[in-house]
Amino acid sequence: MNGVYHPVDGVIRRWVRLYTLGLEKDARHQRRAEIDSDLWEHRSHAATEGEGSAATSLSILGRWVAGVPADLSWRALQRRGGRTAQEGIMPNTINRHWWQLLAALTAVATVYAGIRQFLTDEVSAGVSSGKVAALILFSAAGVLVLAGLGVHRTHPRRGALMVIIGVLPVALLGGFGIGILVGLVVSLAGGGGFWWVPIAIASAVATVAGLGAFGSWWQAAPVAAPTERRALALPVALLVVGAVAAGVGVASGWLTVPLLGLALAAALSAAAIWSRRTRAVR
Amino acid sequence: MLPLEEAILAAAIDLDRSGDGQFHGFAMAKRLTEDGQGQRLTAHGTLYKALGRMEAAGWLESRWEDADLALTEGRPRRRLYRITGATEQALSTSRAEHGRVLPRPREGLATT
Repeated sequence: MNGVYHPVDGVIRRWVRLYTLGLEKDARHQRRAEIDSDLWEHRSHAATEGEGSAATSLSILGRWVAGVPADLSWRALQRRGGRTAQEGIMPNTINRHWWQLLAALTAVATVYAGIRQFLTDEVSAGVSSGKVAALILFSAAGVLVLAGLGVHRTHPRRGALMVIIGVLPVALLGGFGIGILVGLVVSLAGGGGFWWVPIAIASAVATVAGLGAFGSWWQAAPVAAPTERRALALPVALLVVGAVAAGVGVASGWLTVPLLGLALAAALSAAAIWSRRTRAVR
Repeated sequence: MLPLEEAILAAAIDLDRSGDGQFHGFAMAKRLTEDGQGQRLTAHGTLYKALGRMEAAGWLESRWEDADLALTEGRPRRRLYRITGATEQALSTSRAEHGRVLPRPREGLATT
């Protein structure tokens, strides 16, 4: 195995540098060195096993995304006083089920928002059909999240997947919470108000919940090896969800949202297809 | 103790008994997958956060390997972990509290 790093590894290393910025020197350097070593060992092992570069990159990307919430909580703990202060900060129940709590919060908020819109006079007063459709989508997404949390108890992978799909519309609505920073700057500069704050916060919560669900999905072993037909069902379902989200987005005039939704759903589908095929070949 | 932490400690104890007392992060991720602790390799953030937490608790200890050795082999330095005198007791206590019996890890671990 040579020591050449793949571009995907560069993305991971940049992320590590980002979330370790401002931390105490030892913690920062050790985490960066440890991830560097892990990436190298992963590539080296994959090469030994004859695994393709694309499959290895996908595996590395999955490990990265699934670990983002843990990275952020690790950073928060480090900033609170370093490793010695980690014990006892977070009860075990919250440590295990934090993303489910966030997902439940997202679900309740989306269902409430959807129902509330239908109970107001705004709809009958002439709100666009696209907006009504979007609200139906969000309500359905909330129900899907709640159902996914229930299913997760007995079928972790299936339940986590339902939660991921369910939180997607809310996460996308606020641009994955990135709007928090952008909106803050715009509002402070132009005095345009803070109407976007609840949306951005909800989006951030939904995004983190989705990442947690992805981590659960990533880690859980399937009950049985999927058949070829079942292996295709997931990406197809994700593509349908992406297409529906795009259609609703176009109808409501939110051009950015459907494009993001479609792209993400397509990427997830491609990842799932690739993962299944890779496993089937083995 | 989280299920992942129990699995890591169980594998680490097994390694110690088999003579391969030290392991690095990726080797443990691979080992956990082989032992049935998930279909895929443990996520970076999850794994290293857990290892750090267990080291802080005194259940594991770590050291960075000699830089010359890594240089000779043309790879980054490894952070090597091993169990401590408190590891077995901590695992037993946690298992008793949660009533869990994990699958017994297999013997041996390739650290390369």
